[in-house]
Amino acid sequence: MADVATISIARDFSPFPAGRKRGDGPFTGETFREDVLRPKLAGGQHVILDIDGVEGLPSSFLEEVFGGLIRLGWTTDNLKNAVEFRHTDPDLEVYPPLAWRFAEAAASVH
Amino acid sequence: MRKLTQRRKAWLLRRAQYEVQRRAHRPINVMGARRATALQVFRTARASLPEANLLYDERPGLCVLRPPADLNFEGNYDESLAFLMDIRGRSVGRPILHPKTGKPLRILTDFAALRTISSGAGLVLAAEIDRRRLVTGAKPRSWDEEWDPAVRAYFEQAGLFELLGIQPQLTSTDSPPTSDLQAVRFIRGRSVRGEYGAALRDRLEALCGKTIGPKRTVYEAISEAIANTRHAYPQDVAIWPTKATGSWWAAGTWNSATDVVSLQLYDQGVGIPATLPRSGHWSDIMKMVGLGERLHPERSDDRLIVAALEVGRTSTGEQGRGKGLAEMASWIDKLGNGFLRITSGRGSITYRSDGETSGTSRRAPFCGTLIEWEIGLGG
Repeated sequence: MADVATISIARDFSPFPAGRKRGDGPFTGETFREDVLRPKLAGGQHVILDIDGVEGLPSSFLEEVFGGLIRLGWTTDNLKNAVEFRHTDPDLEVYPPLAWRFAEAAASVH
Repeated sequence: MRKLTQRRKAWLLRRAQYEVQRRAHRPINVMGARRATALQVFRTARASLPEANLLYDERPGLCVLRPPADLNFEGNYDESLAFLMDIRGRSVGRPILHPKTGKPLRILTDFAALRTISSGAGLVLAAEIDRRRLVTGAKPRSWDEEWDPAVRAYFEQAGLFELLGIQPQLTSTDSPPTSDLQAVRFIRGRSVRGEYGAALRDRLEALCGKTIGPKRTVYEAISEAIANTRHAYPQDVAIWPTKATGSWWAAGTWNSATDVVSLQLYDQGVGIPATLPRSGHWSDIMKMVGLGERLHPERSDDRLIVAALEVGRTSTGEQGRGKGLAEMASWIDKLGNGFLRITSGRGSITYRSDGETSGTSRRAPFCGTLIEWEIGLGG
């Protein structure tokens, strides 16, 4: 069984994620994907993505993370097997389906 | 004088050769051509608007530029934009000549004629003076003791005097606020930082003492609007006058009498309609605007913005601009009241909580993009 890594976006990255490309700002989707998430995935780890504590997950951020992984060669199924969302705040339940929608939309054009 | 060593001579020679090569490969006058185009666009737009309200001062060598009494893009677009373009153009534009003597005149701007100013127009005005201050280092002076108290109070509360590096002549104790409108301090930024969105939301909530919408929705709406400004300053398009700072400005107000909160975000870029063709959704936008509009050489910008917003609301493909616009509108959707207004290019659109979107086409293109939310908090 693969190692399990837990990433808290708020704690390990920023409670204020926003923006798409690295040059847009300090806590963008590309920066999170490349510096935090992808190294874990590349190491074959199963990632539990804890989204509690974020101010929000703007769509440009979320799309760049999940759509971006698809554009880098991941398949939606592989990604769903490798990443699991976790939250205790019920207000955050909209984000996992949104992230998978972004991945599927990216896969449909990729 | 010290004699040059062989090594130093060789280094200087190599540097000179490199410089010659570098200059030879630089596109000749590319930037000059872009600036000339931008200047022409500016002058054409300005010519389509009402003439400047100039008062020829009795003091030699001076004339006074006066704003319209109502500086407001919704009800007084042409005059308000003309005034702002005159401010933008005055530092590098053609000199104003005295009608009788023909001598060039120095221009002073007198805000005493201003009676009402909308929050959006106030932010755009402050941003323009701020841009000039950042680029030229010129420090504006203030004769705010002659200003209308409501206008002065708005500038003071929003921190616009501070933004502009102005020491106001009056303080709030000299002239207590007479208006129901209270403002939160402006924010100026260049990058997309979520903290800014959270700070604006929190400041507005502290001002009015109420929540202004679902916490995360408001954060995401503001963050996406800020992210939108990253498309506003493409490197291959000049914006006259050049030396745009690449910044955005944001401010907010609360009207205690009507219990209405507003938030404005402004950039001085090329405008949303000009950047849409680079969007991943451009083909969808073109389908939505219809064949006649597609073939028309001057597509109406309000229809393009409405189409981009609609495409963003209905599509799941996320590489384009539309999703950001849709996320800005989701604050209005979830709250169930108020409106989102986007003024950009030659278009101004208003999206209301019932899902209705209306657009207005303008004669002259707006100087950037102004995004405004207005929501009622009353029961």
